[in-house]
Amino acid sequence: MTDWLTQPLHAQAKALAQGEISALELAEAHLAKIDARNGDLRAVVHLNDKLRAQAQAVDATPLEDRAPLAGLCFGVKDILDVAGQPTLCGSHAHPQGEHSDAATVAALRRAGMLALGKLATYEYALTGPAYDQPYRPARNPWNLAHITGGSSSGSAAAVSGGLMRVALGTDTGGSIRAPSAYCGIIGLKPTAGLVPDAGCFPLSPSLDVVGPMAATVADAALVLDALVPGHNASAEIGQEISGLTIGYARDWFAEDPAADPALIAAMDETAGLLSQLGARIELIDLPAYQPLEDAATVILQAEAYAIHRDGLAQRFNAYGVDARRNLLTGAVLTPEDVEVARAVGRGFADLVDQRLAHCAALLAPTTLGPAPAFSDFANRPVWTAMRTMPFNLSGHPSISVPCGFTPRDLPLGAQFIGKKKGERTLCRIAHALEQASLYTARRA
Amino acid sequence: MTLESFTKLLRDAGIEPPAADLAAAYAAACRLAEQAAKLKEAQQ
Repeated sequence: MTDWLTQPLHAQAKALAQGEISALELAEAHLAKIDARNGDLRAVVHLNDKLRAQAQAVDATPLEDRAPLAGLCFGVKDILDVAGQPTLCGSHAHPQGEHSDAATVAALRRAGMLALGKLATYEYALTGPAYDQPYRPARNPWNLAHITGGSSSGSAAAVSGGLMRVALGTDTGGSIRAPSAYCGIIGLKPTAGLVPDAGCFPLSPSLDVVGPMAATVADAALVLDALVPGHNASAEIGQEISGLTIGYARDWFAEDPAADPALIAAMDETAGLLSQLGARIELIDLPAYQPLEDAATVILQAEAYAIHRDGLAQRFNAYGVDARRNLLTGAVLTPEDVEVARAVGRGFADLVDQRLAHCAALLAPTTLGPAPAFSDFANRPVWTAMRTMPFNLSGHPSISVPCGFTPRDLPLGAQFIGKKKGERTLCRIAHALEQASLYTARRA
Repeated sequence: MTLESFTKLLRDAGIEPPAADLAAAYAAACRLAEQAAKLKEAQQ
């Protein structure tokens, strides 16, 4: 008997179209997997109680009248609205009310996909793990004692744990890519502004991006194509990468004391593998990392404070302790501080554009090590070193791909950064690496 | 920025955190303000 959840979305779509499986059977397969594993993973926080009926409606529709992805299933991070399901944003402070589908959820529904339910998030996509949220933190399928990373924590755990092939996440400073790296899946942060964000509760509107987290590059590209019809991110998947130049930003992380030796080795191995596939690897330099992260942080904290100022005034104690303390910090920032930070971002974006003028993509790590253990957070805040925020600042698309494992069998991730609206080439390169390394074939 | 001026900034926005939250947020806010100041200095 086929385990349909191990099959790529395009194979599931084909099986549905050929009557090899019904939409109801596929939905039941997801529900069975969620029932079996979600107790451990704590990824799904609300199930769509109309799923079976929606699947039956697909089955009742003649094949020729069905939308292209009819019957395929996806999960939704709990800061994106889904009609008929609550949006908690992982917070006791979030006002409840009626809402329609977020633009991204509506786009996937138009393509025929079925929303399985809501997936855990760090509180307001801000900080975690925390134990004073409406639900307990999601756990890493590779080792339940480790965090998933965040803030798209449930999306990463759900896909990595095999509960679903794809989930929507959001990325303001790495919240799609970092948990994807920690959980050994694909995380695609699209170009800023490419994917509509209506119905997504904002963290920092200038940096927020909605995108897919998926079991494979092809699954992620298929969903991006449904989110942005005509963008055709899948178009080059399967093409060789021979002759493409990839700029390897090795100096940007290898000397950082926070870089895990296993990560450095995995990155070098990745560059070597790309070279074997015919790509030309060119070492490139990027500006000092810390000021870029600082600039993104200034924008994020200033915008997040502006969004939550009234909420903090009205219901301070309903926010989780870490979230409310974090949000208050933005009060000290001035419009001039934010303008300086934006200028840093514009300068970095210009420089990345220059590098990409002769490179098809840039290569850098997603995080500098594996997922920390929950116990690491017991008595102190933990700073998880990564290389994601600068590309929220610059707006370039980026895709995180599994690139190896630590000796303790925790996943590591590399990210490719591409030209704006260059997701097609990014997916081509990421898919080639995925096929050659087979790290995404390993499942937790 | 002093703790008093940080407290006033929040109070002016209608936010009156308990002392423990205020102290923790103040320490983090000072670090953030320092990061912003460094960026400004580097841009000049």
